Amino acid sequence: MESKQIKLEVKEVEGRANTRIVEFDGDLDSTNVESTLDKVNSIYGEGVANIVADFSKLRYVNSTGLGILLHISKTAKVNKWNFKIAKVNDNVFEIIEIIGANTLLDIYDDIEDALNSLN
Amino acid sequence: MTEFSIKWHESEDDARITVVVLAGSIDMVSVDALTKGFDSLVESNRCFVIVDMERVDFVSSPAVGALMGCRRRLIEKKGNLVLVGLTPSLREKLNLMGANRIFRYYNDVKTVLSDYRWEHDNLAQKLALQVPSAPAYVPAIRRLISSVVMQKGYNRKDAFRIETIVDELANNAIEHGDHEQRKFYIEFSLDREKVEIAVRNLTRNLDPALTQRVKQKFENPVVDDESIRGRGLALVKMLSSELRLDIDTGGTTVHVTKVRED
Repeated sequence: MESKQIKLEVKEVEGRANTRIVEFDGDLDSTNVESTLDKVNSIYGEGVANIVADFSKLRYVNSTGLGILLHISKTAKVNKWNFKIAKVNDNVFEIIEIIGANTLLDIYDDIEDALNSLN
Repeated sequence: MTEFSIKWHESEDDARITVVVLAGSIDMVSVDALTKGFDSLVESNRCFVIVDMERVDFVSSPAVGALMGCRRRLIEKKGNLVLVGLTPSLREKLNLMGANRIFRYYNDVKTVLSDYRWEHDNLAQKLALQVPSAPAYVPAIRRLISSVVMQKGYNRKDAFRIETIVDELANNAIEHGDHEQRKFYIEFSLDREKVEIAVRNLTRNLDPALTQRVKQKFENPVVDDESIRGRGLALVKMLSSELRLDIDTGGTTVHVTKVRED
C-alpha cells in the first residue's frame, strides 16, 4: 500500500546481496508509520539482513515516527539484523537529539560510512 | 511625458511614515532634489519612507543608484525605503539595474503599512481553526502554521520546531479527546518575538483522579525507552518556552509559548 506523504524506495547494493538502501522521501508521521513498518518488515522478511535508511530526503519526523524507528531498530537487534540510518538533516536530527534517540539509533553521516560499518 | 515633480507628506494612516510621490522623469537633475529631501528627513529622524512611483515615466541608472544610497542612509538609522506602484515596464527596467535585489516592491501603500505595523507594533494576529478529530488533517495543519510562521519572517529552524509542536499537540488532542465530539480546536497567534499555540480538545467531565493524572503527564512527561508512545509531550515540553494546561468541565486546553530563537 502506498504511504501517504512518504515514499520508500528500495535499492540494491552492489556486492552486498543481503543489504538494501531504503530511501525515505517525505514526512514520517502518525499517518504513515504503520505502512512504513509494514514495508520495512517485508524487506527483512525477504531475507535481507541489513537496511541502511537514507534520510537525505526525509524532511520531517514526529515522535510517533521516531517511535517506529526505535521499534524497527530494536527488532533488528533482537534478530541480529542491522538497521542503520544515514544523512539525517539538521532539523530532523535536532528532534532525534531532543528526544534522546540519537544514542539508541545507529546514525551515520554518509551512506558509505553506514555500509562500511557492516563489515 | 509628465513633468518631473516630487511631493513629500506624512502618511495619513501612520505619522511615522513619509510618503514621497514622484512623477515624470527621474534623472540626475531631479535626483538632486530627491537627495536634498532625504537629507532633511534623516535629520529629523523620519526614517521610514514609501516612494510612490505610480506616475514615474523613466528612471535613469544613476538615479536608481542615488535612491539606493538614500535607502542605505535610512537603513543605517534603522529605517527603510520601499517602492510602491511600479508599472510592469518600469519594474522590468529596475530589475535589470538590480533594484529588486535592494528594494522591496509593493503594490500599494496599504500593504506597506500593514507590514510595517506588524514589524513594529507587536500586533499579534490570531488564526483559529476547528478541526475534525482525524489524524489525516494534522499534516496539513502543521504545514499551514509553519508556512504562516515563515512568511512572517521566522527562520526555517524555528518554523520546524513550531511545526513539531503543532503536530504533537494536535495528535494528542485527537487521541485524548472525547471521540463523540469529533473535533478539536487550534488557536495560533504570533508576533515578532514569539508564537502562542493553544490546542483544545473536548472531553466529558473528567473526574478529579483522572484530572490529576493528566496534569501529572504534562508536568512530568516520562519517556519510556520501551514504549513507542508518550514521547510527544516530552518533545513539546522541551521545544517550548512555556507549557500550561487548563482543564475545565468541557475540555482540556494546552497552551504553549515558543520564543523566537534566531
